[in-house]
Amino acid sequence: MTFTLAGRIQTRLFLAATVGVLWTAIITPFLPSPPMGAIGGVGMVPMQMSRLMILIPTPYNPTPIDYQMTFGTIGMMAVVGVVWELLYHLLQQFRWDKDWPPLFTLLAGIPEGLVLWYVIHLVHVENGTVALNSPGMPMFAIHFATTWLLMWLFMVGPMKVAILRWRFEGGRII
Amino acid sequence: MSDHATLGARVKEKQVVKASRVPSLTADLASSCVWDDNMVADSQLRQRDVSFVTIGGGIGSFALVDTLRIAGVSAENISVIGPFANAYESLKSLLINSQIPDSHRIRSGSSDRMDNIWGWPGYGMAEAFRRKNPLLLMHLAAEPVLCEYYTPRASDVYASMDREAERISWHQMFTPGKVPLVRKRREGGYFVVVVPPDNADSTSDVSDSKLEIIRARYVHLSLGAAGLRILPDLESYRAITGDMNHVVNVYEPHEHVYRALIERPGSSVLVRGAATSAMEVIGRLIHDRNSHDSKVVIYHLLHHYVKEPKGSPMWRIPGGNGFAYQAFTFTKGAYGGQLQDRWRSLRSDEDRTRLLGLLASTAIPKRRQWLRELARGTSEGWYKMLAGSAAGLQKGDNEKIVATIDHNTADHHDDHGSENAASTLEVDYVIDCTGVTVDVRDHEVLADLIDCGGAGLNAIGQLAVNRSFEVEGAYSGNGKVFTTGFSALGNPYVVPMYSFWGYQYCALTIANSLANEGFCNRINTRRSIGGWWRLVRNRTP
Ligand SMILES: Cc1cc2nc3c(=O)[nH]c(=O)nc-3n(C[C@H](O)[C@H](O)[C@H](O)COP(=O)(O)OP(=O)(O)OC[C@H]3O[C@@H](n4cnc5c(N)ncnc54)[C@H](O)[C@@H]3O)c2cc1C
Repeated sequence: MTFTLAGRIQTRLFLAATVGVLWTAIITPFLPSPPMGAIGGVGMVPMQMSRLMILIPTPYNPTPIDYQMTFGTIGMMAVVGVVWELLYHLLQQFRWDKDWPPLFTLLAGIPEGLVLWYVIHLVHVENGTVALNSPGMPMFAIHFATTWLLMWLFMVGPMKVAILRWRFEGGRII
Repeated sequence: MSDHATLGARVKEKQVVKASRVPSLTADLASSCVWDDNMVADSQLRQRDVSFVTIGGGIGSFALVDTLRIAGVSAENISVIGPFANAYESLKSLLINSQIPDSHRIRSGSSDRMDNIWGWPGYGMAEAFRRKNPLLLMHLAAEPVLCEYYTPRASDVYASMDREAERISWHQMFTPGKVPLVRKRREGGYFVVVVPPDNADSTSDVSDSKLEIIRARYVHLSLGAAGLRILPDLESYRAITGDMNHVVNVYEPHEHVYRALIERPGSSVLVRGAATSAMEVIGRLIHDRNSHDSKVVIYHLLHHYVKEPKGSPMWRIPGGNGFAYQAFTFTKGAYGGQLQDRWRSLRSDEDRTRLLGLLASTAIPKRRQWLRELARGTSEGWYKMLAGSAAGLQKGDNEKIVATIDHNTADHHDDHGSENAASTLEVDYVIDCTGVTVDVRDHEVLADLIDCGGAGLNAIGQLAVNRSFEVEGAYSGNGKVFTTGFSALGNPYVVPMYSFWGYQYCALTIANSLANEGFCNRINTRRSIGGWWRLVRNRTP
């Protein structure tokens, strides 16, 4: 990927607003919402055997709090991401090719996820303990990891089709 | 300088190409720079109208025509004039000469796909599916961090272009021929003179009926590098000795050299240059050593021996073993990234020259296999690296060539650093891989466009273009001439002009500007997705 700083930021916001939002809307009902009281969420781990004995997750009735958590997470991923992009752009300056391999973007999900976990507590998108064994962790981890992966997959492929100029203009959308 | 990068232009003295050289033009036409409909009608030459003509019919033409077809221009409105029916033919012969036969890999990335302006799925993904090789997908995800860049096989590039040519009705738009002249039309637009192939080389004996004149509003020129301009020392060696055989440029056909080296085992060859084409030549020589026991001794002359990464922390080019390393011809960030922005922000020619020197550094992709072979050759004594610059070629005894090497200009290689300012070397053959020069005036049609058509030149003597790659000064009423590739080098907008990426970038920019004039549709998100879906299903655009 040959990003410019503006291109990075625009790409991140665009991916969050499209793939991120869409995927969050789809996956929230399937996420293991922490038990009521633990952090304020409602619901049970929604795994159930189907008649065909195949393990499939079944949606349950997510509460507004679940959506608040997942969409809040995506929102914070975008906002905090702008700061991350500044850092990546700085690091890019030390690369001769002034490019950013897709693998870097994929792996950046690990530090970004960890920092995001703290940030969403800080801004009360998520309540309860920030310890990694918090009951809210599985929901966050599954949601964030799948969203990150999908955003990455979209970026290395279909994005080029959706916005033809994107790959020619350093990742800029406008 | 790298083989492509040295394309620093030399502006020759003004040599006016006379239109009268074109057979069967009436005196009236030959003597005027602007033609009108009556003059052309009076000439009784064959004539037809088409909105858009692209001249060259190579990679640059293909990229633009493909994009315009996707932007909704019908095949009837486009005409392609060139010597070869297949757009890759000219590139293919240069690749074969420079030791990249069909089964070898070229030097551009997976998503620089000539048959797919979207670049997705790239050549790599297509190859992974075709060969049912999921590891290749992981390779693509991990490049260039954990592995070298994926690059497509030449044959895959050709085959996929064949498929796309079929889809966009390329052959229906194609007319074989050579264009000696493009003249302005008084009423707006241009007249394009086409000489059919059997007459393209002879300037006499052409019956009037053969010549064709196309009246067009838009003209696009992508003519590649004109002929080969070998370096001055090669030229003078050939002129003095009359020997065309023993000293060759890598882009010329030179299969005879490899054959002779096999027939006379133990011969020696001097390879000059530190860029990819030199490595491909050495690869071939090593292959012949291994499979045909040629016992060839290879001397490799580099301008500079690169010991280690070089430059300031922000501009440190990787290097070692004599070479600077860079994956592609240009620094990656110049292909649309921050270096493109940087390029555009520069205001003076000196700044641009300085930056171009960095972006087009002489370098090779760091292929482990090459380095392994060179290390083996060094230890077995049949590969010797020398640092210095070529300072003359003479004919020696027994058909040998005496090459003089000036070491003063070079950073000395530890093992080979000599105290002497110059040394000589006797070899059987010399293969020069240091570059070719391009000069717009080598193209008759471009020279005429400058002399007669008002086209301007830029700081390095190539055609001056604006942001949409319109040739400045060549406007004619509502007509425009566009140029992409070599003849627009040195423009302040795009650096990698002669790369698949560059041709597609320019094509897209031109299509957008034509959309503003109502000639085609803008490729917005809806059209882009729709066009891509048609490509995937192999439907006409
Ligand atoms: C050895 C080599 C390897 C390369 N490898 C790569 C690579 O791996 N990746 C990459 O991105 N780029 C690569 N390039 C750079 C570039 O993509 C190619 O050179 C490309 O073919 C250039 O396209 P073009 O349209 O300018 O010229 P061409 O494809 O050469 O087409 C120009 C055509 O115009 C014809 N012509 C000239 N004058 C006239 C006239 N008056 N009338 C009619 N026709 C005329 C010529 O005969 C020629 O057929 C490579 C270049 C070379 C030389």
